[in-house]
Amino acid sequence: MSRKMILRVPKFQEPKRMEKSEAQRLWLLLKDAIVEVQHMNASTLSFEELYRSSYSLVIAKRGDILYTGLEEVNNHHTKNLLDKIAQAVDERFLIELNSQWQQYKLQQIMIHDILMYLDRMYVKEPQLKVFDLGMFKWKQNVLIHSQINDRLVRMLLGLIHMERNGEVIDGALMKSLIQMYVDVSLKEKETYKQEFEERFLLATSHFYKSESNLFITNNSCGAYLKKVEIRLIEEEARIKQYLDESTGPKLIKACEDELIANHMQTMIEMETGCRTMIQNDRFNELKLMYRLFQRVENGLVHLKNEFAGYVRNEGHKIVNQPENLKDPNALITSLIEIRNRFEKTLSQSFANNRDFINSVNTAFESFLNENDKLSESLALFIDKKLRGGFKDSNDQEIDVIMNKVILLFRFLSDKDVFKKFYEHYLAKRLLSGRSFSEDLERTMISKFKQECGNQFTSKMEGMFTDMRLSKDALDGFKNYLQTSVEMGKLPKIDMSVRVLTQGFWPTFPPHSCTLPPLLSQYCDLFTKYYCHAHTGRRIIWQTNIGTAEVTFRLPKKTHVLALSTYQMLIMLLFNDAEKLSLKQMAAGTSISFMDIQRSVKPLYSGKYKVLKRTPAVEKSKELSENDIFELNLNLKCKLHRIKFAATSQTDSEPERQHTRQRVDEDRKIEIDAAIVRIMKSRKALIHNDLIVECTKQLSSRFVPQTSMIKKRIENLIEREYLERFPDDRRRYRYLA
Amino acid sequence: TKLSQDFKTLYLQSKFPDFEIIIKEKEKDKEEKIFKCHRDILSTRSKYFEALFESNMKESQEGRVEFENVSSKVVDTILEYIYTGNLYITLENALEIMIFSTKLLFDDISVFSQEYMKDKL
Repeated sequence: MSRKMILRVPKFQEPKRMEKSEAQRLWLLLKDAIVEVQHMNASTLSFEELYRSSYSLVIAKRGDILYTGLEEVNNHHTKNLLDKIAQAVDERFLIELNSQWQQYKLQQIMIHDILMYLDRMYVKEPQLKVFDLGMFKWKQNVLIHSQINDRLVRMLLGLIHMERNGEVIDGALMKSLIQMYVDVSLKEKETYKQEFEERFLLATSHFYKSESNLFITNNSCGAYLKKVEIRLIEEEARIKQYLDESTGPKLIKACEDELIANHMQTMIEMETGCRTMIQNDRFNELKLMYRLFQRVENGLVHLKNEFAGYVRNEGHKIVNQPENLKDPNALITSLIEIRNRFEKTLSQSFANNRDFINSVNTAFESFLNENDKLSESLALFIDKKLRGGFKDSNDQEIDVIMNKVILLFRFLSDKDVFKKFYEHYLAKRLLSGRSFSEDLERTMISKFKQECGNQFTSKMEGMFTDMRLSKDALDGFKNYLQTSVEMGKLPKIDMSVRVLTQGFWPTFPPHSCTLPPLLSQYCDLFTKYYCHAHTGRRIIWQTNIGTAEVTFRLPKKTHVLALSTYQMLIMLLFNDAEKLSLKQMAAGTSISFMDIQRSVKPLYSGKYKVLKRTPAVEKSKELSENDIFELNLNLKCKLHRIKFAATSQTDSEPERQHTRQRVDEDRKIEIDAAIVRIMKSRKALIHNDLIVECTKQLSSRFVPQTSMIKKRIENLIEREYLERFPDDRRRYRYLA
Repeated sequence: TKLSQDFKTLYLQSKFPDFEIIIKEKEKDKEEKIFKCHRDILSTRSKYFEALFESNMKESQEGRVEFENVSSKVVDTILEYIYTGNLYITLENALEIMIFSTKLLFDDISVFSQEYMKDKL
């Protein structure tokens, strides 16, 4: 089946057993050659002859002669070299050591080349490879010899010390000598690590410990930071120049520990330190500090806490400054200013680090809610802007301010309080016709809507709808008057009415007053007209928030006074009396004494005085019931129409309390709704869980007090929405 | 491939050789055979030649090496392999190729020739 295959063996001899003498001859040939190589006389040797000799010994199974012989020759040679090197003095020592080492390394490469067959085919673990054997002998007999090692390391460290002190040293020599430790390491650079690196790192820590202590006590923090940065750059360069790269991270860590980590607290607290830098907006220094602190563990935490602490402190000062408490505009302006300032610090120095931004925001949240002023102040700030404060700003500037308002708004924990105030002032702007631009009003509202959703702004939008519908209703009323029979009997007055949907608008505290008969008749007519057009509606007159224009005849001149309804009623009393006390005014109009006070004040103490106090009392500001007023017939004013403030711009305390009460009322409803919602889905719940869940659900609008939630739960139990478990009083069950 | 063809041309009609391999086949008392080749190619393809040039001994300085106990045909086969990557192994030359390539530490040829012989036996 198979063809006959011929495998020709051309005069091939089975390698004869090599005579011992032949093996010895080959070894001596090689030994001589190795000695020549060690004396740098290799160029006349035949590579092929030497290679062939080593090959022949190995295939004749005489590799052992060669290997042990090589070990001896290396041993002998390195011991000779030791004596030569150890004799060199001072700087000659390093130079001699280096030049012998460089030569030795070359020789070992050549020996390896010649004995490559031995290396590949004979050497087996744990024997060292030919080149490694050479390295090992150098290490054993030269490098770690007591006459060399300690002396070498001390000199190397001495040179590095000099270089750190600004002197110039021979980098190439350093590199070669330090690399020697790596080269003679058999595995994982152990010789390098043990003999050199460990001591080098220790010396480094020592050097920087004393340098940093000295430097930081004698210099500013800024100067120290710059010094540290330069030192770190130098050490990075040192790694590249002459250290083994594996040392890099350890060296940098050692430097960072000594230069940064150990001094962080000092850098924060020292007089020229972090605090001062933040105070004085030293953005570049802070940026450097950020960069350096970032390198060490927990470094940024220190810096962040310091910064956040400063922010909280500054904010605390602003919200508690007496001037700011009086002037909401100044308060909000200052808050926007520091917000801008800190945003600048964040972006210029702290790389807009998320953690930093968050902790600044937390700080804002905490001081903005320190007292309950902020909600109203913010609403008032916007009120002023929307009453005309935006007049001189372009669209872009307006947008920036509005966004800042939203930003501050976002930090408020009681957004419902703000909402009430905002609605309150919006209502006032709309009713008094003081709103500067409907577009801007709507822009502002749309921003709140974006932030909090439809529910938040639905009432505000309702107010705008009412304003539009009122205009239509009024037009209809005027047409109705012209066709009305009763009209002929009445003197003509120009009356304007706004119909406000209850629920959209803040409820103004009900105040009664007596209207003059003519006005009363007109009011009745309007009620009749409106209720006819819209059956089922009921009109309640809120005369106290109205305005009126009254003709004021002086002996030589006539003015038109733009007044509030109350002021009109007061002025009308003077048609029948020359002098009136406040008490009489109150009696004649049925207005509360306090409203009389507030209404009269602008009339006699403003720029144009239509009333005067008799007798004139300049100093005393408080008005008493018995103060007497008369018309100021000597009024000097070039204007034909004179506008009076209804009251002072900010609300009086009772009005403010009224607003707060309404907030509390709304909160009750919200809490009830939240509790019912939760219980409906969970059916049964432990008291604490209910409180937690309820707080969570409401947190976007306000932070409910636990006591209030408790009261609401009690109330809901009474109303039989919930009941307690009979066996566990702390658990509630939902009653469908 | 085109590349191996071009390298074969380079080997056969070398224009700028910088090294010679000399084979004297003693028995037949023939003329010595000279192969002209390139240091860069030899040292890139073979650890042996790399070491030979690197150690800068006599051969490297004189630009020639002389091999004993090997036929010029085998050297030719191996040089062609060095240049082109193509190895032409036959029953006649297999054993000699194995021995010579083992000496010169051509592991791949050595293994290949051994496998070849095992197959054929």
